[in-house]
Amino acid sequence: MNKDLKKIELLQFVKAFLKKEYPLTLSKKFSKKIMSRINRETTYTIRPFFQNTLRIASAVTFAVVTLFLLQSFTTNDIEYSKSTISNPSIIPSKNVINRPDECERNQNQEIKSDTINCK
Amino acid sequence: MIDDDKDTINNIIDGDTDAFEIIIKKYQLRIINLCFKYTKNYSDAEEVAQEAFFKAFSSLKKFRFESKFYSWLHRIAINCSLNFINSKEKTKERETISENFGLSGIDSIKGVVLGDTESPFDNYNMVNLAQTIENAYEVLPEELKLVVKLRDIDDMSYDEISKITSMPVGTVKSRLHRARDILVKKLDNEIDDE
Repeated sequence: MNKDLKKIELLQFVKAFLKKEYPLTLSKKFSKKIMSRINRETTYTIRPFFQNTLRIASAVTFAVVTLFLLQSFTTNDIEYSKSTISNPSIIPSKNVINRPDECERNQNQEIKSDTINCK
Repeated sequence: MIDDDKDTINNIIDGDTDAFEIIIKKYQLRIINLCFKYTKNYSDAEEVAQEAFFKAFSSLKKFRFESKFYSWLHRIAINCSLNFINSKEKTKERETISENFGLSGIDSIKGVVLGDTESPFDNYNMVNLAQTIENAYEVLPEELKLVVKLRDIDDMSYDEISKITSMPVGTVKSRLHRARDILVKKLDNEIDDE
């Protein structure tokens, strides 16, 4: 224990004993218990401050990113056509030929190209 | 109003939390004694006193030095004691209701299981220490004994003591210092022997 602190404590003991106003029992750790509680509570009050700051910062970051994404998706750069867009079916031009008659004719012929007509 | 604790309190407010231990050491006996008047139990009195000191620390920034710090702490300790008595009465009421409904006293079971684990060696033997000081006081030289009596037992100011004893204030102070030194050393030896 700090020397001055001990002297303060002992002097108070002396005064209390002389006045006969003292408790019959006193824990040697009385002040330590209070100080440890104070130190604990002080760090607890600091910790939530940082936690809350972190939470707010992450919430703001999330909000900004979300807004940016939403803005890029809902932007007016898309130009809509005034007429109906017809989507003609794409016919493969190579490798697949849907011509059963020709297929029959070529059955016995040699394969001249890389086109596989049918088997 | 001059308050001996002003500098200490300002240091605590400025962030020197450890300085609060000086306040505790200075007033612990008086506050525990005060709480005992309400709780009628030293274990409870110590608990309430701890709460009072903690509350005083928590609201130290609100202290405006309009009164002496001890008066303010005294008021907090009384409030804590009254709160303790009220909460104890409520607990008693709950226990009575539980017993009437055939429920076991959970709190009392908890009290046994989580009982105070402090041994008698963790406490000061106050009666023995007091006896040591009384004996040491009795054998002090008369001129030292007188100033101790007037200052520490009768709470007189240095000026009053100076008038009564027809001694300069400086002499009063130095004699008191010598007397206290003897008593504190005696107590220190006794505590080390414990």
